[in-house]
Amino acid sequence: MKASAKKKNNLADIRREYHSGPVRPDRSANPFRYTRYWFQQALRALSVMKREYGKGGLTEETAPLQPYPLFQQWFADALKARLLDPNAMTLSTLGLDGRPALRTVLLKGFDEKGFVFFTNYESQKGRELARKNAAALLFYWPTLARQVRVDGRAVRVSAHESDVYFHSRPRGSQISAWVSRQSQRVPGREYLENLTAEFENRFKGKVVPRPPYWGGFRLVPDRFEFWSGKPNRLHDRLRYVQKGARWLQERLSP
Amino acid sequence: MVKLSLQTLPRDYRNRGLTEKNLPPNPFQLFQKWFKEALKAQTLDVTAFTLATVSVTGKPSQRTLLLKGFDTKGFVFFTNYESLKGVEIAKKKVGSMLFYWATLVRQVRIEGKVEKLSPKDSDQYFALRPRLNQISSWASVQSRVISGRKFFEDRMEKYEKEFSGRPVPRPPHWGGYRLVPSEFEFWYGRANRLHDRLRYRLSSSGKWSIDRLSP
Repeated sequence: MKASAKKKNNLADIRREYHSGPVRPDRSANPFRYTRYWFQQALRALSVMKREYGKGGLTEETAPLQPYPLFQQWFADALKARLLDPNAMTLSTLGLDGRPALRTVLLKGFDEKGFVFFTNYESQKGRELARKNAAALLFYWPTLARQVRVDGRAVRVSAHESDVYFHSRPRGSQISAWVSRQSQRVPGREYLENLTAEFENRFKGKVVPRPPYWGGFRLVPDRFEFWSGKPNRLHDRLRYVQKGARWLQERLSP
Repeated sequence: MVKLSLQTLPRDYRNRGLTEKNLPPNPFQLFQKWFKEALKAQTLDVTAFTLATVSVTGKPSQRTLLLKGFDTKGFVFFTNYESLKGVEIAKKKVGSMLFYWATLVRQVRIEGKVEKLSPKDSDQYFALRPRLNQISSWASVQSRVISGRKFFEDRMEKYEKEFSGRPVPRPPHWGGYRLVPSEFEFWYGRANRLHDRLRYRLSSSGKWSIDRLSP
């Protein structure tokens, strides 16, 4: 047990874990690892620039009983369509003043546990989520005329999971995690540039450690809504609501 | 877990960013400038934005909408007043909007209170919509659970018959809102995550103050 914990903290292993090899995992033995494998293969296979429009609609007959396979399918379609920023999503939280707050963040991973993104825990969204963890994500893929809304609560990922991702980032982004006191007022751009130079100096020749205030959140969904745009506003809207271990599927009026 | 390879998702940060120099004192002017540049740079859905509201249970709630107009008073959009967002706005009259123009690596966040447009303004816009969209405003019981696609198709047929050969009037439950901003944030993506973030806030004296935020 001790040895494996030690191994996990080894940076080379962390990197290897992030860029996992081409060995096809056993789907039934480890569905999470299989999903990761599947997506990496999908990303590698992409080479042709293509624009795709909405493929038919969304019907109860064809939609899976679970929301995750449908999300995976739509996400794969978004990747195939070579959209700019297919993993960009809007994250909305409840502001400290009671107003809704939103911004674009990039999805860094997902599985049947939820949707993962990373940030500064002391940023505005970090503080808002610490106070109220209810949050919503919205993916909008315009060329596909599709939208997915995911509602749930955001929980912090483990320190290990944050380390794994932090060490896969470009060095410049790692340094900026030290520089930026995210969402705080700063006197000007020069101030940030000077701080960058300072931290570059401090970590020169060394691995940049993950700042303790920087890490991931996982949005654990209890509700999905899949929206497929159709002519004349006759859009398809299918909602999945979690009821215990099951997902209830219902159609909403467009 | 699914990891997304950033190498396959390139973005271009070779821009000059956003500086305090030459920044217009009024955020509407800057929005207009960026909006025009977005129209030039991308053709699809420049007017699309995310609207976040507060749900009746106090949770954030959001969806994509299309902007139908803006002036120095605010930003206008239309919907069914009995839809989920309509119900949410009626209860808590605040909202936040987010425009994300990926090709320009720009983002604008706008927060403020939300008010109903006058029936006259709503009539004016409704009259401009395609006929089938007008009919669908009658047919849709927006955001409510329905038995199936057929439920809606039957209702479309019913209202098509009802309004056959005459103009479709605006349903009383359908109309516009205006988000009247008290805060703007302009975000411009830059290399190494050193993005530019400039925030305008409306003071009680009616003046906009500008602050730079850490990226």
